[in-house]
Amino acid sequence: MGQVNRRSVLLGGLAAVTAAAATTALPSWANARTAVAAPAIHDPFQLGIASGDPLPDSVVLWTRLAPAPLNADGFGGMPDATYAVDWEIANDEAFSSIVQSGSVNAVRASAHSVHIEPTGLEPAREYFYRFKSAGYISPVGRTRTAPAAGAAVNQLKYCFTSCQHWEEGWYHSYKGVVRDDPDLVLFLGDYIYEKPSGRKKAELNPRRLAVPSDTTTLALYRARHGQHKTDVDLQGAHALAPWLVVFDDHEVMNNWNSTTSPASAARKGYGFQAFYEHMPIRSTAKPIGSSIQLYRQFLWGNLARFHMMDTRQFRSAQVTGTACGPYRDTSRTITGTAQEQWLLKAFDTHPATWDFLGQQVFFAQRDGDGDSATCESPDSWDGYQASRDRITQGWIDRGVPNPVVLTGDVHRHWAADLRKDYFDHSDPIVGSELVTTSVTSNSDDAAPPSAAWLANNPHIKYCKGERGYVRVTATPAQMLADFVVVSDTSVNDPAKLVIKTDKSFVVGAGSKGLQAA
Amino acid sequence: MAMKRSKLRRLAGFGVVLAAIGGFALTAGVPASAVSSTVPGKVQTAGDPLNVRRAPNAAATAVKTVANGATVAIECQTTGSSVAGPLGTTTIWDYVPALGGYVSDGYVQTGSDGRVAPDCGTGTGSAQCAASCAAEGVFRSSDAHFVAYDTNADGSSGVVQYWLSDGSGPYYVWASGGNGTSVDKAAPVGKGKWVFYKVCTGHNTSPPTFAGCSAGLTDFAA
Repeated sequence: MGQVNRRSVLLGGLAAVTAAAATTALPSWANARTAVAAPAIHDPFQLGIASGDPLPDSVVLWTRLAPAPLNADGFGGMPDATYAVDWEIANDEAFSSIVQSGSVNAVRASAHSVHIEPTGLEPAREYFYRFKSAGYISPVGRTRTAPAAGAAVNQLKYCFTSCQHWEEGWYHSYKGVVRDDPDLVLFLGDYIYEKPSGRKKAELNPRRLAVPSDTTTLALYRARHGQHKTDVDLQGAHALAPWLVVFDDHEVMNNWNSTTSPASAARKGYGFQAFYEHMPIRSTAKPIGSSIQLYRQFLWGNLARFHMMDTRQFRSAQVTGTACGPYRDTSRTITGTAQEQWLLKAFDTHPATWDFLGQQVFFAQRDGDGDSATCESPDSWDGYQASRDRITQGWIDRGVPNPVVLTGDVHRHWAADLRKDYFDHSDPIVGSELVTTSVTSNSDDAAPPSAAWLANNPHIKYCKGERGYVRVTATPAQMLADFVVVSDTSVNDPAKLVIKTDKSFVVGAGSKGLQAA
Repeated sequence: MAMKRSKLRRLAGFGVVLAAIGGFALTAGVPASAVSSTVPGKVQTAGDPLNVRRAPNAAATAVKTVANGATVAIECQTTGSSVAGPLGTTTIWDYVPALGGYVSDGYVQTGSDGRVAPDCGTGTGSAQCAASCAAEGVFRSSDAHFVAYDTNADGSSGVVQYWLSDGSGPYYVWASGGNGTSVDKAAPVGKGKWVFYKVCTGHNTSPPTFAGCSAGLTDFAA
């Protein structure tokens, strides 16, 4: 402590201390916004690197400086200072042929995250990238640009995942993703969870949150994302290919648009801010308060188009009960009007063979009793049937050639054909849905659908209650979907790890309906 | 697509070897010791020796003393229990690696009533305690060991929980031998790597249970 002015300390208490401190020259390591050099730090690249949102001439490059990523204050061990972060994009992973480079400032207000959005890259090719800050060099990432609009593309391989509660397992799925070496990875929501595991078989959980408090502050959301990003397999999958990421509810809190306990605007704002800071997404998705522009489209030459959707932020409040009236209320929406119009407008054009709707919750109907007078699953599109009807009719009316809905959320693999009227079992098939199981989040209590259930839902072709992901290989002629399952995610022994395709389906271009492959 | 694929197998995981040609001038790899530097302080008491405590808390075990007037090398500072010393009342504690513990900043002339050194967890060792220091835990950076202490006959063990940079954890170091016992155990923390840890009281059952824990701290192996 200082020797002087003891009297002011005694008389004035904290305020006097603060005033005294403020008049003292700042030490070199503190509050160095105005200092020439920021203080030395340990290796800040503890959360890996990532890329995402590829365009024909651009791809987002991401990292966050966090030498101590689990710290509960959310600052990742970074001093309150601004750090320059240099970045490089190269033709080769040895960085002997650099095509672009630059430098940006990483600031505390953004938890020292950086998002680089280079332009002028060449389409349809891979690049390598890395960062440097405070004398340290990051791991190397590989990414790729999208093919040019209209360009002929022979094949696109992507994997999609969802639901990765930290405590409930090891991320074996990403070992499979890395092995598959896809062009793209899609993430369809629940990258983090706002609270510790509530699973009954807690003894199977192989990990624990370092900061287990419910994420009610920006600091806690940052610390939660920070811990997730320490997973080596997740980092490996991010380093391998660009990702297209959307959130679901747990990036904020469970069912945050519920009728009973919706999230406050402040909490949504914290969740969105931390999500942006940790994802390789564009500055167009930088949140403004409790609002974020997340839905967006990507074109992959003449082969595929991705409509990455947000069915959480703009949905009407979820209903409860089984009376179908509110489920079918035409004034209710799961997309919001603007997003619905945006999607329908896109359906007017057909630049690519395949239209993939990357979104959060189950699209096809699931009606256990087969009784059209009772309704269920209010969190899914079943709870917003008029929305589903408008989107489905929209792609039919506009002649969308091959619509495929991609889904997460439900912690089981599912495959389904899509109809306008699911109670009419001979109604024409108008599209298909692929639902990926969770990476880790449990479905301990989920029993397989009964024969009676399946008889009431003949459009449902497959259900598997194990952990894993879905791999899609699209060509101009067909789309192959492999439902991959992994062995016990509570065991981390590589010798015991099994990653295998459990079931495959094919959809032929121009012909609706899943065929067992 | 007709794009050339590079061999990415080694990219996907870790231990990525940084390129040595082209690009960034490779002055990278600042040794962790470069992060560390000390600030001098002078012990001021009424004349008695000052207690050096294992953790930044007046309830923590006194591990040695330091003489009035001695100059100490402060590595880092942290917030702990409030202490009224001759220089004022403060919650700042100064970590002095050479003494193997913490002294209250209320007894140390540093030239400032505020912080003069970075937050603890600088790679030179640290400690925390829980439940009024009924459990204490030390991370020794020099050889990446944890030492867990049970310092109270409360029927609980003292335990260190720690998490590693590969996303695994928690691992445990239990002092389950009763009041006054400790356990010293190596942790697989690579040179310069971080480890996040908490000190708790608890019971080494399956699954373990914890009564109270410290807030948690990141430190680094030297």
